[in-house]
Amino acid sequence: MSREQLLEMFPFPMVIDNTMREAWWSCPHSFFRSHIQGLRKSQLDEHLQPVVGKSIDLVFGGVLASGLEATKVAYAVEGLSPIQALTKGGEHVIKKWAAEGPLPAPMSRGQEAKTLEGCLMAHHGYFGEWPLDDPMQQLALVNGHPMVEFSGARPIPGCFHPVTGEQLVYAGRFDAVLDRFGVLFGLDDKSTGSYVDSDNWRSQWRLRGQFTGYCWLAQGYGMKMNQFLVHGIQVLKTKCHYAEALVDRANWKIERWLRQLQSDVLQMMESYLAFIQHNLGEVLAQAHPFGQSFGHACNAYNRSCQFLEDICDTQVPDLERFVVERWNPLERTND
Amino acid sequence: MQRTDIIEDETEAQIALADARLDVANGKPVTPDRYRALILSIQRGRESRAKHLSTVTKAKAKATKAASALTMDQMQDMFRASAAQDESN
Repeated sequence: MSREQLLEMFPFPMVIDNTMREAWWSCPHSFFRSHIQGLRKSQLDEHLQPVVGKSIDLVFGGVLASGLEATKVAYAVEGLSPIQALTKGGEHVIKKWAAEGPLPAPMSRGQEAKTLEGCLMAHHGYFGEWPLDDPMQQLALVNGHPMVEFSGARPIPGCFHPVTGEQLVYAGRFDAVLDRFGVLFGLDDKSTGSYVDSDNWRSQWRLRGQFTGYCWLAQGYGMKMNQFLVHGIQVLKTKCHYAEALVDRANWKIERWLRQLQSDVLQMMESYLAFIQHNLGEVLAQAHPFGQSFGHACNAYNRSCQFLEDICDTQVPDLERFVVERWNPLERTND
Repeated sequence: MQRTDIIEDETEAQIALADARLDVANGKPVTPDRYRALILSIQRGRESRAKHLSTVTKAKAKATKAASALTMDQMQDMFRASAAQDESN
């Protein structure tokens, strides 16, 4: 394969986000397959065309997030009353669920709870726990626009594309920014099947890079943000539980995170240049520049990695099972 | 009787939801009253389900306990049978 073909088939991303960085840390080879080669596991539809399978968890999370956003916008931008905004959000949930089409059969008890009914109840209960008119839940306004569900991007200092030399950017998508009496708090909603009202659940967010990255992005837009809230929604078959976690992001934490991000991106580029230079075929006869972790990442959350069966656990990878569909952090996927 | 109530509540919730989905698909807006009624109906269905699950779990636990508990007489019979077996060997 010529160098030009290699660069075309394996482009280094221009935009890095937290999903990519976490994938890189959990297994560099999975990062390479997903975010450089752009592979997504597919299955054949009724016309025998390869399509990327749907995940109940992702559909549920996406529809719920979309409903929460619609409700917050209806209240804060359109000026509807809380019950009118809730009704509009509920209607939005029903529409979005229908647009998703048929979903695969649930594979666990947790997934059994992730139905349209469950989504409507999680949405409704959310605003019972954190009411729209609660002074502590008010959205921050920038130039009159409420800070809800928006994408932000910022150049990563000292990081340039290994082939084109263009500036690389870091991107993220906020759920919301709250204004609590002049102090800005980032907000992220997390739905899960596990228990949320515990120290364990809260402490998992203390160093979560996703939120540190959001604070750094917000600072790029001139917003001083050093606190982050996580709204946890535990979805069960017959009820939902809610809990809030508050974590701080002092400037030193943000700076430390940024230094790590820069170092990670430089390492990704180093591996990428080695890959392009050595022009490796698909047979993994030597260690791949994007190494395989051979550990927890192969079966994280009791689910096999999408590359386990056809790439990593086979002598000659079978790429027929995949479609090329690259993740773009700046694209909205839940509209 | 309990089971019939559950089926009724859950079925009512399913019907209310199906109606709402049909109306939304046809572009008919949901009113706040309709939304409240829908949420209440789903809530009732879920509460009935929870009650039913609790009853079933309790009944199962009771049955398991009853099956595993041996009376003193039954235990003595078991020991005697075991001792007789040892002697004959």
